[in-house]
Amino acid sequence: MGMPARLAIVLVGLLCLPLGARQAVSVGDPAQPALDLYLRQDYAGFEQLLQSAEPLDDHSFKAFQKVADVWVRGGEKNERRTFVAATVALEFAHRLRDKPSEWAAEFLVWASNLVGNRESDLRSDTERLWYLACLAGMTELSQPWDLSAGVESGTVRLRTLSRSIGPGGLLAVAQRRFPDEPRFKIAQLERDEWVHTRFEPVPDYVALVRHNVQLRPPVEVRSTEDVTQQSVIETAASAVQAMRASAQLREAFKALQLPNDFGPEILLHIGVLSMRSGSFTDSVRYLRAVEGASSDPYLLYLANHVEGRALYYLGARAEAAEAFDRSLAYFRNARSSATWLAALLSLSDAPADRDRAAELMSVAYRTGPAPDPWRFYGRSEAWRWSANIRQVQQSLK
Amino acid sequence: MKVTASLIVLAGSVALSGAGPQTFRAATQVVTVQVSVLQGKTPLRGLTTSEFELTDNGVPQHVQLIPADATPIDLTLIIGAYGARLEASRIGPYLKRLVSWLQAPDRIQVLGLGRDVRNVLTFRSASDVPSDGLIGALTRSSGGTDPIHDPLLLGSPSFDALLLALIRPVDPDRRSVIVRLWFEGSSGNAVPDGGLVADVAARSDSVLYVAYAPGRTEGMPTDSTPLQYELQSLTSAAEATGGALRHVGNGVGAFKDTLDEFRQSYVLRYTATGVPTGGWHALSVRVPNRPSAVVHARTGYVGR
Repeated sequence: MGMPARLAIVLVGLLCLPLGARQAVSVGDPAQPALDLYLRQDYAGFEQLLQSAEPLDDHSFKAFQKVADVWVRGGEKNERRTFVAATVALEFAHRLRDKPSEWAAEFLVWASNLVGNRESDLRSDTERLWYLACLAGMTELSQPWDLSAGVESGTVRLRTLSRSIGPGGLLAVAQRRFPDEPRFKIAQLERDEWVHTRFEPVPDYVALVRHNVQLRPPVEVRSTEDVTQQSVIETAASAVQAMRASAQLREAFKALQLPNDFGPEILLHIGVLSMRSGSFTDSVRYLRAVEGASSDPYLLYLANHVEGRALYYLGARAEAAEAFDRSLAYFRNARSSATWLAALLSLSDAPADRDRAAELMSVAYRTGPAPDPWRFYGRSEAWRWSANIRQVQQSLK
Repeated sequence: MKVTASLIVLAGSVALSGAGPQTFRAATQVVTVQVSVLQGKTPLRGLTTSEFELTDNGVPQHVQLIPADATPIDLTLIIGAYGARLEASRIGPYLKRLVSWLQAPDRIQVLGLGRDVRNVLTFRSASDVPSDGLIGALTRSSGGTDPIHDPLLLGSPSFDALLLALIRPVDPDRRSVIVRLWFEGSSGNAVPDGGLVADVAARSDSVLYVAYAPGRTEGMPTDSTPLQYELQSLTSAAEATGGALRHVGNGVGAFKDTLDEFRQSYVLRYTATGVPTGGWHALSVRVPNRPSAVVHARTGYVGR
């Protein structure tokens, strides 16, 4: 078939499509139509537009900024247009969350500066909800606390972007505007939890750490052995420090004065931090209290998952397996619990247990990862991104 | 090591806790054991059946030596993908060389470690591996992430991938080898529960090798810097399967040496006699008339 004939078929095909499907033909730069659709609250149209547009990449921000800077000033009701543009930027960033962090960071920083630099004393609910949504967008990146709290763990480019928000990142700005917002108070401690307590107190490793921290450091670092010795002592010291920090942060969570609604979430943090400080029995007690106080599947998955770890470290292997199994009732095929449960089942002598272990792993890893709350633990609002954006959309009416 | 068994099951299954109905079996159990015999660092070739002594729970067994080339290899390659995006032009040819050492009936799967474990390549014949597709798949498996990961909070991809590979049932007509290529790179504080990995490894039907290249290998995907504890745990895990942890200078040679060692290992098969079929069976393999040879074989298996 020749080229003209093929072209004719394509054109006839396009003309025969229903209107909605015709709109799905790839569009160029989506910034202008995206902003207009969001302003009209046509969120279904917005979704369709982004699905049909070219995938966003590291060049997308410049194109967006060029359009959006003009668009924000382009009409009346400037406050509303500001929040619409800032929310569209969050939407674009969300679609880049699995790409190098800087790509999404440019959108997020532009948006947070747009909202933060408004000359308005009015503290609206839209603004509060927007900060929560922005916090969600920032904490779902590879380095969750760089933009959101000014932690410098990423590349130079990411640091530069983060510094343009100001000291303490977005959270500092949001807390100045809304000092009573419970989620910002929790996020501040979650940031400390992420930075200072990343240590899994595997009992035999803890025993090694306690031994190594007593070693005498080399007087002079001359040989490879000296370097190794020094490194071993430093690693052990940082592990001990992480366990101490976990115990201190646990007390900080206990001291938070928040409405009762936040009780199960706080108990979860206390349970996790108890586990990380090596207090496994306490950890199990707090985590079981979460299970009795909440019906939120996210919290229940996490409470059971961490309880499984704590029980395993206590040597209660069968009870640990039961806890991992319970967590999978809330998020089937979530890899964190599926992997632990499969590992424990594979230690069994019973063929049925070993067969189930193989089946669990096969299903959990057959395709891409299923939703897994443990992958979001310590990332503040990231898990609630969709819910937070919906709330912003409703408040923009 | 593989176990094939014909079972007569008289009651239901046994739960993990040990509670519940008991299982009583009468069965014949065919057991296959990979045995690597080294003289120094070189595989010792030409051994005959009569030179091996194998005991199953202390009971001597009558073994048969199966020609190694009669059982093709299933290779699981576990490799960090963190730097793959930046180093694609160098890693691509490297991966091609790895695949080129496989033989026609062999199969390969590749697990990439990025934010999570990714099936870069599901099991397929070496001849079906796309010549340029592997590096693209590995790059995508990194999720475009920077060479930074957070094993404790995101889960530990290395821990997960090892367990995934170790727990996988093995085709009775094939030999399964897992090679964890570990190029030191970005720092990290991953402390997977090494004891658990070692326990699972001891019951695995695959042989695990860890090829660890300390110091940054230019052009290689980066990975976390293991703590001494992790290296000790991985050594225990590998040795329990009959494999080993090797400190290597570069990834290419490490992989080839490992694959050669595994390919030249012996395959012993026997029908377990004089021992109950179920439960843990401790294995001991010796080559008594070669006192200077070092024998690597798994430490036991779970009977069915």
